[in-house]
Amino acid sequence: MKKEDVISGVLLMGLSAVLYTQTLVDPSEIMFEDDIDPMKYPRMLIALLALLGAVLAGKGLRLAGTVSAVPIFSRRTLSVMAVLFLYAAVFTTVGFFVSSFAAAFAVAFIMGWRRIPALIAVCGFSMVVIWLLFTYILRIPLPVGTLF
Amino acid sequence: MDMIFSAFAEVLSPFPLIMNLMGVMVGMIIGALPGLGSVVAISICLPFTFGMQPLQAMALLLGVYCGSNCGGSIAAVLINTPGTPQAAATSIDGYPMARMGKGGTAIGWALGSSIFGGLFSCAVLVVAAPTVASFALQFGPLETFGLILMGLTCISSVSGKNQLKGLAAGVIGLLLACVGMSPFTPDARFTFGLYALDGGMDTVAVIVGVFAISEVIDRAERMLHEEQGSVLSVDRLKMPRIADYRGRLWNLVKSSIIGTFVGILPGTGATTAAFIAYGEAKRSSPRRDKFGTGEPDSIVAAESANNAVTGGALVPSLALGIPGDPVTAIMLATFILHGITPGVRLMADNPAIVYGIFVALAVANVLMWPCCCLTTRMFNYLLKTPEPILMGLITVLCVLGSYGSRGNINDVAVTIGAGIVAYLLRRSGFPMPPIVIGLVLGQQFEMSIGQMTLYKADLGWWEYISASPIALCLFAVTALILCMPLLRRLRTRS
Repeated sequence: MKKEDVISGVLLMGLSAVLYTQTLVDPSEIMFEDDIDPMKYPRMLIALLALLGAVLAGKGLRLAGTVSAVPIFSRRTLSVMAVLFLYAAVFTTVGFFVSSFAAAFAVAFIMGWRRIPALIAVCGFSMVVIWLLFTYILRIPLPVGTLF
Repeated sequence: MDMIFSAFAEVLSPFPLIMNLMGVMVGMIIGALPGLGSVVAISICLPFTFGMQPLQAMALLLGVYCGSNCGGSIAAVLINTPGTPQAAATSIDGYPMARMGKGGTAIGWALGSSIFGGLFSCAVLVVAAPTVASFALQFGPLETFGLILMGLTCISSVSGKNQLKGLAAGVIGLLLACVGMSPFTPDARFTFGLYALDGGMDTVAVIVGVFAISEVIDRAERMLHEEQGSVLSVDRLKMPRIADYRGRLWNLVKSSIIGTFVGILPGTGATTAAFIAYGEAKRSSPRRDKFGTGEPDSIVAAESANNAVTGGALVPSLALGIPGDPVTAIMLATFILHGITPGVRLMADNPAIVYGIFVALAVANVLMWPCCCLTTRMFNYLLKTPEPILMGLITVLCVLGSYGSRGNINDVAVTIGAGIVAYLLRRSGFPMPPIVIGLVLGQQFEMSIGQMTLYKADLGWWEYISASPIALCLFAVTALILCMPLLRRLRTRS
């Protein structure tokens, strides 16, 4: 059994079910006989996705399993995901400079870079360059937040 | 002709020229870093185009496209690890040349051939795109539907061995395009009660997440399991003299023709072109017995073909609105971002931009020369840049890019969410380009279905379809493309 295919197939079917519930809302009043049901096309896509999920899971049951040398979830990948979540969560409240510096530092640290002074210098310098680039050249305002 | 001259004047004005130059530089740098490639390079740069005029944005992205193609060959020559997949064929003879102390010469051959291939395909683009586009003006909703359907079949060719998963990824992309208001009625779809999603998913945010953020997460663990190549140093770039091309000119032209033609075919790409041209050069070159030991013929073939794909891939994208590969899919997304609808009317409605793109592509190819000369020494250090630091900075640029495109924090959430989901999908063997192809073509696809339903009125479907020979041809070609793998398998079996 190819576990990843079976799980992917089942998840696709689950996703299709969740999306289908979203198409059950009442559409706005149909004014003309020829008006198009806005949920018809998405429902067709959902049905196709569910079918593909079922076929994928069915095929996965018949295929031999494979073992990848690189695990899908490891401490490193989960830590990077956590950093990304946190970064997105505090980006506007804390501000660009502190949050971005911390995110760049954390990702590099998680990925195994241990020369802390060099990392601080590179991250600090890069943030200043990025800020200047966004503010003065691209003229895109970056969030200042409580800590800049 | 007037359009071409005015496009030259516009592209060669300071800001678009600087954008083009920056694009080439950034593309070369990212392309030279093994594993990142053209798609990641363009994904990272895409959000920065938001504040620009459409032509400036395209000049930047075309520069990145050409620069990353060329940058990939530098890594292939110096560390025997192609920076981009299309440079894989270059390393076969480029690396042996570098080991003989001729790294600068090998990069020179690669650069010269890339420039020739790029300019050749650009000339083809200038001639072919307007012709195809003027024909495409006859298209109504039915023909447009057939065309987009044909474009969607390139999902099959970019899916490789994972056809089923590629199709599922394509459907996910089409569903992502449905998020937000329906194009026909005031109904919000798949918003889960979040008003932030009423306007739909920001294409830029999704693309950055799917390609760049998922790459960062993937690398976090993968870099532990992969060996880093040793870097050979090179002092300066040495361009081949005109006389050195004697006996290689036909190889150069033939490989450029192969690259341009492969580029025009939806869903094939630069890697295929490079290997077809390499194979052809190996078959026909008088120096074929030296291939693999540092023979410039193979570099000439691979590089001219892979860069000739750039112009070729833009023919269906600009004339018909069909993305030939993930890079052109992102470029079409850039049009949407700037309020321009890609498709059959693009050339008729926005000729200034389209001609500007022709010129920007040519200029980007020429700019590769000074950029590569300036940065050759830098690559010795760049290729030694620690990956963790690079990934940290890419993370920040991605998040800033998706935030900056609309100044909306919800887009950052979309980017992170798309990145994590894309990481899980790619680790389960799902190809990523179909998601973007589905996302880019999705809205037009749904619109054409709706318009077709209205235009058809009381006619039966067959009666309606059979009245259009163009649509019938498009459906036949689509069916042929879809049946091709099956026919190939049957032939192999027999």
